[in-house]
Amino acid sequence: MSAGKTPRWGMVIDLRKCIGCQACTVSCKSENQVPLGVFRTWVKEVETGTFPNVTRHFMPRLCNQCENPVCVTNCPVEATYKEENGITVINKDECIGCRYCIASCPYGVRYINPETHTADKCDFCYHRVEEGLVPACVQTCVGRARIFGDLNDPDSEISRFLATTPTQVIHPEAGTDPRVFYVAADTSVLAGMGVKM
Amino acid sequence: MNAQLVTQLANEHAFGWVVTFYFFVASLAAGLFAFANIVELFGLARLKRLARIAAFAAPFMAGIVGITLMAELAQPSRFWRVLVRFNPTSPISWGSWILVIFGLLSAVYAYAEWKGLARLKRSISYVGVPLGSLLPLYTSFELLMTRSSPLWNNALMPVIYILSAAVSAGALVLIISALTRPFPLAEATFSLGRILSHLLVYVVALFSIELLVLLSRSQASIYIGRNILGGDYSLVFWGLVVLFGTIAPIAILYPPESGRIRLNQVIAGVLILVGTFSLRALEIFAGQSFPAH
Repeated sequence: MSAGKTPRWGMVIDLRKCIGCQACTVSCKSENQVPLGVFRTWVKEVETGTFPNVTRHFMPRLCNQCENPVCVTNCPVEATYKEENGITVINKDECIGCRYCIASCPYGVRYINPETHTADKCDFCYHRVEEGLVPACVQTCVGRARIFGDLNDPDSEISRFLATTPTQVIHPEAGTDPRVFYVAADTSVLAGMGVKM
Repeated sequence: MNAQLVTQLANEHAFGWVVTFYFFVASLAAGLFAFANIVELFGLARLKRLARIAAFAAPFMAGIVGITLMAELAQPSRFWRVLVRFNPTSPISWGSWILVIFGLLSAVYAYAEWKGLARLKRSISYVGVPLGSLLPLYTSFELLMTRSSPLWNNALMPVIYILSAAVSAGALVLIISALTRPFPLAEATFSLGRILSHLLVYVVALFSIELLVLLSRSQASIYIGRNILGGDYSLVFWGLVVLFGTIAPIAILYPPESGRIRLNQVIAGVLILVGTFSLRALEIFAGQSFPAH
């Protein structure tokens, strides 16, 4: 962590190392007790090319912890808000479950938790981060594809990585300034997210 | 591009039939209230009987909108918080207050209509039309302010919503007028039918412009545009919105020989309501059809 500065958490997902094993999906479910049918993180699989020249792409998805989160702007009761450390969280005691944050999010990462009946999403495993641990998905990633760290600390692994490696974000046109960066994402997959046109 | 989705674990879409119904009834309530106020404001004596029906129907429909809005919440018992914790950047915060003010004012107006309080009615009618416009305007902004769908995030949306609200309320007035015995408003009803025919053309034209814009933008917008014009939603668009909701009512209402027949007016009114409801459904469902997640 950078001395004297509030950390600003971010994540890099190096798709060259992702093998699509869904271990992140499972560990997140387990760590955050995510009910059946809804997901905080998952791995989307997309195939490009024409047989026999085909490539399978894995695209892990999670809350992008946007710098300008539209869910925060649009929440009518300010139940979802951004912490100083850059993580967007939801106050479950305040949420009225209007679903507007779900409709607003360009990344489709929010859902109504069928148990709490409030909006829910990935919060970078806030409880773990506060204890100095990394999120469960980062901990469990078998390919070490995920790097989590403080973007404010120039010496952190993530900052050093970002300084030397070109990255992409999903839906840059939405103007949300995501804090989840992808490495080596196929541009056609990134643009269409696997939609056959 | 040749990319195909293989595996997708995704969360459910946010909006469905309840929101579609809520948007539709909100536009009806707003249109009816605006109609009653226009009649009052401009002293259109011939339409006063219709305006009276519209004045009574508007707060009733606003009540349905409120109940629907609460029912849609995952935490219905917390609905009051939206009025207490105002977020100025959220369209829902504004919309909730607009709905409350609209509901109260339309109820007071209906009371004034019932009791014959002319001065009170007159006073409310000065703000009735802009207030009536704010309701569909807010629902359109609710979609406009999201960044998840290019169909929603479109500047034409508010104009389409206000016009289609006027059309759907007009269609309801047309039906009520045609069913009113002994039909004292034959000429006015025929004129209303013709006005609706013109407005319908504008609604479909504007929506078509929106579709053309979609077809020239991002991958997501092209996908949605194609989905409406020739994909999963083409039957709704071409069948319910264009054919049954626009062409058929115009063909019935515009020619004087058929436009003056009461049964035809009722049929055309119902078709317009089906068309405008289908348009709302199309916007909600097709807007979420891009599997970008």
